[in-house]
Amino acid sequence: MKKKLVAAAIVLLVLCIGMVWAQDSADPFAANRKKGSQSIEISPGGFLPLFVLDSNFAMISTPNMSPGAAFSVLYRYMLGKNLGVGGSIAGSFVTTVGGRTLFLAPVCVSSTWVFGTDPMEFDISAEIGMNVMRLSGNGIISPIAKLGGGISRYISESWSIGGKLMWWFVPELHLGSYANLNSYASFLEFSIGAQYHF
Amino acid sequence: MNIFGYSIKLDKTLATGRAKQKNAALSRKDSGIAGLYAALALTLLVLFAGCDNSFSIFKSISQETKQVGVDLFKNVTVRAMANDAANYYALLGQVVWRPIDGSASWNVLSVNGSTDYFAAGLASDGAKVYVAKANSNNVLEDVYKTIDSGATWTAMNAAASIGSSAAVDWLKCANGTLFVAFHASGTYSLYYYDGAAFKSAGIANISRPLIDIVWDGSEYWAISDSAAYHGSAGAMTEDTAPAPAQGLIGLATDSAGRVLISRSDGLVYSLQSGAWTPITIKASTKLGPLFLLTQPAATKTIMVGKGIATYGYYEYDETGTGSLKENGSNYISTSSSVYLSTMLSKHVIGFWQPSNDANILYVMLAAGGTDSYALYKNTFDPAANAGAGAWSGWTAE
Repeated sequence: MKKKLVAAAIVLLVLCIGMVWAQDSADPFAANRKKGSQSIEISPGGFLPLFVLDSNFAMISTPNMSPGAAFSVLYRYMLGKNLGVGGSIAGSFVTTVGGRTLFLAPVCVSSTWVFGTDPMEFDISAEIGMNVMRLSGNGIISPIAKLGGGISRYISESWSIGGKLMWWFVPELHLGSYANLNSYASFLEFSIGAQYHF
Repeated sequence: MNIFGYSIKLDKTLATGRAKQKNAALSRKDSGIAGLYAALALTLLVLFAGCDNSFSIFKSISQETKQVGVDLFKNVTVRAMANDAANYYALLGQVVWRPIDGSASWNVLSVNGSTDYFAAGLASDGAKVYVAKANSNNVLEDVYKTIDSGATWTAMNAAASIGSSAAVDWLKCANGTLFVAFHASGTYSLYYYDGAAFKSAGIANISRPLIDIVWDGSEYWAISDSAAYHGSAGAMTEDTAPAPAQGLIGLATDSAGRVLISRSDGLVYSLQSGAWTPITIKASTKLGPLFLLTQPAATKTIMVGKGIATYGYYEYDETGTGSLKENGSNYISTSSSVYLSTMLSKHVIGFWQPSNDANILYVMLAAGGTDSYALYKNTFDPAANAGAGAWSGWTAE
């Protein structure tokens, strides 16, 4: 099931690339990629649990989580033609085999490398931040790191749409004598998004 | 000079005014920033207060068990259970049953030749099974008895003794005697079956509903939410001991002279050798139904439902100084992970063990707001845990 969803996401991205590649490659939107340019992106999508490592970095054979959904809002400020910094907030959930729901809500700072020729735009981004997780009334605040990339196409001077894949690394860290409870989970966020440039 | 003096004074006044305005603006800015910091600090405080360093989210998930039960127990409330030598029975709107040996799944029980009925009560003494049938207004039609696992039924003519307008609240067998709690005309009464007819147990026309009845080895105990009663079957009287007399919720016994009553203030009162002793399960917390777990034999465990919105149950280990097990702790009867994925947010209606097997434990749940099962079974394996024995954990029926 997971493999199929990942494959479907990749196919979707490739199709997007193919479709937009054939479009007019004029560059009327270069103004959106200069120092001081800003954008806000809203991205709903799916959320796949990939694997979980225990405190000894051994793979937990039964992560017991099913695919869920994710939603993120990203702000970006361009420091130059290619480099942007910003922040993001996101919310996501997965369900478990026991019928519970795990919620994740990370807040991150991000840096993004943007390239491509308008109307196409590609980006590779890295994010780090803090993540609030809730499961059946219990909560954990943990660090989080995200790495991924996306592709988008301008549909007007101010708007672009596209898709992205983000790998979430979620270490669950415990202090003191509970360090043996440490575990390290990873997820894949795949989403479509709309970006407003100003 | 005067002019200059005035002018200088005016300038000073204006300068002072501007300074005041600037200071006020700075003050507003400072207070705004302070408010922002306060909101941030409060948010972080709330977030960190909700964290539990001893609880592992991903480990808890990895220890979950997929529960696969029968659809009959989804989104229903299991109100009572019973057994005879061959079958288990559970009371929903109707009575459902399955063979003890697991050779068939749960199915609706035909009572007196019909599966189209509403059951108001279910009880058994281990050999005989009793079902109270009611009409669409919950008014008692009759109590039926079977001694052959439902092959044949005998109508007990209960309405003739109890009344034609009575609504049955519950049936229960204690010490082999069938009791019927019912209400009529706004008052509540308890009757018992003496082998020929239903008669008053001595509790009649009280203002509060009756909750449960047990046999402590020498006499019966029953409770409403405001009084405890005890005595022989036909002569039960109110207990005059003042301690447990308010907010009563659950009743249990070891059938060897000990009686326990749970209350809405977090206390369980234990009666032994004529004296009531309070046990603080969780101070100022509403409790629920009670059960005394006899396995493993080395521990003395009180299981008590929660009467609060998170529901589920507590396990109180009386061994030594006593310890409470709840969310996040390791349960005697199940793992924390299985508890959290099955019982949490479900209202415990009661615990039940078959009359002939102390190694089987059922928990009956209310429908609740989740799309999960309402009946779970737990099996004790005496050979597990190097001979100390261990419960298997809850499994959906």
